[in-house]
Amino acid sequence: MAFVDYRDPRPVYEQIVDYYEKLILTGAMQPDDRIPSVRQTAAEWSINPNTIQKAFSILEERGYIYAVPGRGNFVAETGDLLKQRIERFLEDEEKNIREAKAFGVKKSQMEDILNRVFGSDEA
Amino acid sequence: MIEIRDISKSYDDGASKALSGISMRIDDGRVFGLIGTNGAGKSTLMRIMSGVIRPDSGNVWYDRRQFFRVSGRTGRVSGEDTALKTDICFLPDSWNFPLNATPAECAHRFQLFYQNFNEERFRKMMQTVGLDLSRPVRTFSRGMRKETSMLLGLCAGTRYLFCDEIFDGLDPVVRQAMKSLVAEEMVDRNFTPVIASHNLRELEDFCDHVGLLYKGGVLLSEELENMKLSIHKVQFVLRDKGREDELCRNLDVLQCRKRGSVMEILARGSADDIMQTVRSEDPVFAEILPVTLEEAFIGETEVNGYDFNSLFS
Amino acid sequence: MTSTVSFRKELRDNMRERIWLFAIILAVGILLLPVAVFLEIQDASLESVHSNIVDAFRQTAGLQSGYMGAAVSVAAGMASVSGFSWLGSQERNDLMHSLPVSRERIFAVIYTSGAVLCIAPYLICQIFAALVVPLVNGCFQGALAVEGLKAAAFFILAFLSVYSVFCLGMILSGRTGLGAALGIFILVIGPAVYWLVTILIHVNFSTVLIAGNSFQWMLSPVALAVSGPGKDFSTWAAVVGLAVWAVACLILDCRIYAMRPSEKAGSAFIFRWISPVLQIILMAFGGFGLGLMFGYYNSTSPSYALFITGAAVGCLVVWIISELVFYGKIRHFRKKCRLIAGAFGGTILIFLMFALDPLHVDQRIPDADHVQAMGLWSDSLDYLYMTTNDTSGTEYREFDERISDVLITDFEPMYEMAQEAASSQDAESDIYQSNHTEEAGTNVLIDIGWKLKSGRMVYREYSVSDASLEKMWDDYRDSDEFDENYNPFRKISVSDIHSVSVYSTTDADDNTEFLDLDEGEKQELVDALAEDFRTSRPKELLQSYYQVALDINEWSENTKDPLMNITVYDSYKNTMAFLQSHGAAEVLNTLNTDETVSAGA
Repeated sequence: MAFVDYRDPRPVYEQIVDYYEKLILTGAMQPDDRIPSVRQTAAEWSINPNTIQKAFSILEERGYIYAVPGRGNFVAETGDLLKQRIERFLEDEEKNIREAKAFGVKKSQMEDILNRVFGSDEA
Repeated sequence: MIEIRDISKSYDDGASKALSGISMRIDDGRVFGLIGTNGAGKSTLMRIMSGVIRPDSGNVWYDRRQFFRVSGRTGRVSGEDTALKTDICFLPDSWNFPLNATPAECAHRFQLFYQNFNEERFRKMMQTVGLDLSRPVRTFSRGMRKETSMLLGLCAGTRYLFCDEIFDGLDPVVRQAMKSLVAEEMVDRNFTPVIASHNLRELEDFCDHVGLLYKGGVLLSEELENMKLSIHKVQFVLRDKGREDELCRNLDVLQCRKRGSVMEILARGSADDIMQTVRSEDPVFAEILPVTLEEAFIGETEVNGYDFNSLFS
Repeated sequence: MTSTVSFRKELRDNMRERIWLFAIILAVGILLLPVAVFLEIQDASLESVHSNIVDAFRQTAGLQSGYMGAAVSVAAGMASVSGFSWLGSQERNDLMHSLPVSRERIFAVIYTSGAVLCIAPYLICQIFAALVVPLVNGCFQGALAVEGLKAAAFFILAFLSVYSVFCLGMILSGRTGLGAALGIFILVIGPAVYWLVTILIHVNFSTVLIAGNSFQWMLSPVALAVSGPGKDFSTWAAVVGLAVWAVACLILDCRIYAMRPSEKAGSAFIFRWISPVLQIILMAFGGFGLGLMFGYYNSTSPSYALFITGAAVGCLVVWIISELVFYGKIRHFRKKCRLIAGAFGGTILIFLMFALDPLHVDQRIPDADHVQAMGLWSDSLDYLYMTTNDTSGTEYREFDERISDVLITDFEPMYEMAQEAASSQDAESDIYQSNHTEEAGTNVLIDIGWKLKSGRMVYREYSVSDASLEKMWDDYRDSDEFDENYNPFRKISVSDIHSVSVYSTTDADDNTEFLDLDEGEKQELVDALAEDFRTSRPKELLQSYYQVALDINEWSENTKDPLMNITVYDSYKNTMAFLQSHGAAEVLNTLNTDETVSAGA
């Protein structure tokens, strides 16, 4: 994501939080990697630094990053986070599937998708 | 911090009232957006804040220091505190240096009065955006003049920068570049931009706080986020159409619209509370949608009896 | 950056912007000063009117210059307009007044910059005119340097004075053109009002005389600069006047600019009351102008009805023009009707005060208790002892100067004559001619002056009947003071007399005889004349026939006009006797006594 999507219904800081969460959880950013500074991010994406600061605060609160005074923000150990994230994801998915069911989607159709995505992997 | 208290101003010896008893607070380090139509009083307010115009009554405080001197005898404003002005740079909507001046000469002029003006930085920035420092501004397009103004203002090194519709009419690339520069300034030092515009879209992405002016008065002044968090748009279809009115009554509805069989309401409250109330009516379909700043404004203003269209036409 | 350092920088910056002003002043100054002086030097070698180079300098670059006053005023106008024209632009106001610099400082920088840009080139040119050019041409004198210095000081003060007024006009207005016009208005209004009043007096009062005075010049710094120094009144009075204008306007400039509302840029005036006040004054002038033109077109029979019509038209036309100039359109005619009516009414009222003279100014004379001395002068009285009224050789002097020479404290007879003349004054009488009425005798036009105990001088001009004049003369028969002042022969100093010549006015051959007289004899002649004059009466003299005339010459024959050309009346017994016995017998013998017509004694 090169810049914030303003048509996205979510507030800007939420988009930033999600963006970094994804990067961190998927392993694209490793623990102790340095997060670009507020200044850098603000300049690159033309965003209000307060917004970025807020996003970083939330990330810190949730445990995704930690701050070293004078040095910047760094990726934290993610073990637990991943589990939390997966839980959240599964919750959202359940909601979606219930909705799909309301529209008339069959279990077999869902199973087809699962098979396609997961292939013949075991649970 | 800037505190504006009970500022009133009328022109033509009382014939037209530009501002009536405006009060506002602008916190340091936050981007403040001043919104309103032409004639709402934005320009007048900015000019008063920068000391160009003197108010009929009321005063402005910069960090608790009074800006306008009031004559004890007549009770009228007699002047402003010049020392406080070193913290302020005002960028009006039209180019105000002589047209035959070159950006270099304007920079030199600024240097005389703004001691923190960074001429070197100005040169570099102008080069970066591709503007010629030694061409007379007469040859610049309107957008280029605004850019030059903006750069002059940023390099002035003042704590406050008042931009009167500077972003309006800039092309998107330039606009983004300017925003980046402002953002950097905010990080580097104690910098508070106040941006006036009649374009909501301009400010929505960038402001922390917005103040809406209408006919010389403040309609609202709020943190952008709070506004967005406290108003939500819901689209739903109820199984029992008869329950629609009941539902609307249960919610703090600002606006209600029906498209076919789909109801769309703008309601106040937290997202969770609203959805809960809607779900309790067993809808066939219910979805919470993003609220733009414009819609939030509509909500606030129309509930107060103002016609939103007249505010921004 | 300290305050003074930044002031210098701002000053330099402003001056750089307006460097063209320096160039123009320098170019014009070179022509007006060193070049003019140089031309005078060239002329002097061709024996021009000027007797020496210092005089020439005074008339070009010095205090008596005919054009420096105007040049200085124009420069002042250019400096103030170029300095403050930005006051009419909202954009520039936004810029200047948002910068962290006080109003006082902004004004100080612009004012000083304009002054320096004009004064510096002037001084350069003046130095060239007073020092370099004369030195190069070998005619430098110390006096030139002194004159140059005096003139420089005076004209710099004059510049600052006019400059301050122009700046005031600019500051009070929101538009450049109007500001300059307002500046000109302030500079002109004083003398204009004075001039209007003198016209009204001249046209309506037949007896009131106004002497030249310094007050009229004090009404405008331009007047002081253009016509003041060394010419009409004392240079010091001009200096004080200019200084007062300069200081007062400078203070006003600073104070008003400090509180000037930026939002008034572009509007006509920064105070709402300026417009109606200006309009009323302009309308009054318009009303008087057209009214006087219509009503007094025929000067012998003025028509009040025509005046009123003219005044009405004048007021209306001026109002329309002023509205268009100030606002570009005519606003609220109905609301402004009161204004126009007021101006019109005021004009008529003032006019009637003059025309109908309800206070009887024409017939008023100062209270005798307040009078310290009186004096009179009349062209006609000169006729008494001269054969012609040819005063081309003599220096022209104003009536007030002449009267001040002959003030006497024994004024009762004079006062009575004036009183009688005043009360019999007919307001409609034509003051331009001595009336020859059907009654016996003629009237004489006499200027009378009262010196009051307060020091003030009051002047009147009356058409006095010769009977009245006779009576006064009679009353003064025994007055030595009167004789000393009004007997022309008491004022001749024997040392002035070089030669005396006698001739007969009836002799076609123009025989002139030169009398050879020594000191004592000259004194005798003068005394004889004085005695004869004293014992005669005006009426008698005016009606006498004369045949003999004397020329009293300052120089030897043939070079100049005589100092005095004296009519020797037949009744001048002493003089006649003297002439007879001192070698004028030949001339006297040519008189044809048979043809002598004697009327009266």
